Amino acid sequence: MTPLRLLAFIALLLSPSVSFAEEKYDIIIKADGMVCDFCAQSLNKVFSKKASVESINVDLDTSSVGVHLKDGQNLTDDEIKELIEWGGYDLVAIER
Amino acid sequence: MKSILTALLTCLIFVSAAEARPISYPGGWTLMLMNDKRSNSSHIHYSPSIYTSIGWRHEYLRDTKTHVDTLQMNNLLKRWNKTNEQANFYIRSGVGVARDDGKYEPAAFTGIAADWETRRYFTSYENRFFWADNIDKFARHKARVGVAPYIGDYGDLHTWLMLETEYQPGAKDDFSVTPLVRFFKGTTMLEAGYNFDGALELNFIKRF
Repeated sequence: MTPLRLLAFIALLLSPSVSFAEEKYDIIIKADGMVCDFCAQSLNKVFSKKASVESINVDLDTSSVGVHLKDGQNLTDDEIKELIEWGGYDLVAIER
Repeated sequence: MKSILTALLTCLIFVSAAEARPISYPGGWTLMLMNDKRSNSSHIHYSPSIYTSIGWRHEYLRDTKTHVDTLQMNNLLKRWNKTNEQANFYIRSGVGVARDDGKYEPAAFTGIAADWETRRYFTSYENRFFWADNIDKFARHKARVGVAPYIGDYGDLHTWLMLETEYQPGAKDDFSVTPLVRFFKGTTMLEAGYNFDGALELNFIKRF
């Protein structure tokens, strides 16, 4: 096994088991600029500060953020725009 | 010499900041430990907004055996977000005190940093102009190119293979080339390289 294949194999082992497309989200947000995982971790930090957010997932392939809300909670478009900008990105679209 | 300058200029054109994103999310803290053939440094900063971080930096300059403590501010001047790419332009500055053999002098530095990256390719350039009155003065330029051997997704272990060039006019061994490997997972980044002159480079970044 070449070193590169070994690295790819380790990365696969460490990757989340459920893919982004398989999950159902309350909100899916599209944003520009999401190319770096290390930087995109900021999205988890800023969204988790909102009391209405249960959890999020990020898909770099589609430049998307999937948001699970707590029961009976909501996030306005303005709040979403602010959170995406705090993460360092530009909001493109919001799907509910 | 001409070929070295040509190589340097080529790298400068295509060049990312060694300190991947010197500004975090609003309310975020970052710890950076950087070690190369010229210095060892620790830098901790807080980001009140996505445009600014402020923190303390301690640095040991090997050539002059000088310890430098500075209050450092990083400012994001411009960010370009595209569907599959991002570019950033920063200015970084600090003021403080340098200590050399019991002698204290005021110290300051400033410099710009620019980077462009996709999920596969990475380039950066940064410079630093340092002044500590009678102790040390230098200008330093660093440039990097990088490629990801595989494309990882969110939360995966990511790997980058990079080549760093450094030029410090007037210094001993003024030009150097360092191949590096960068790993990051989640909010932790580690990179290690070995200079063609035999010096180790080891960097660590953790975001909180």
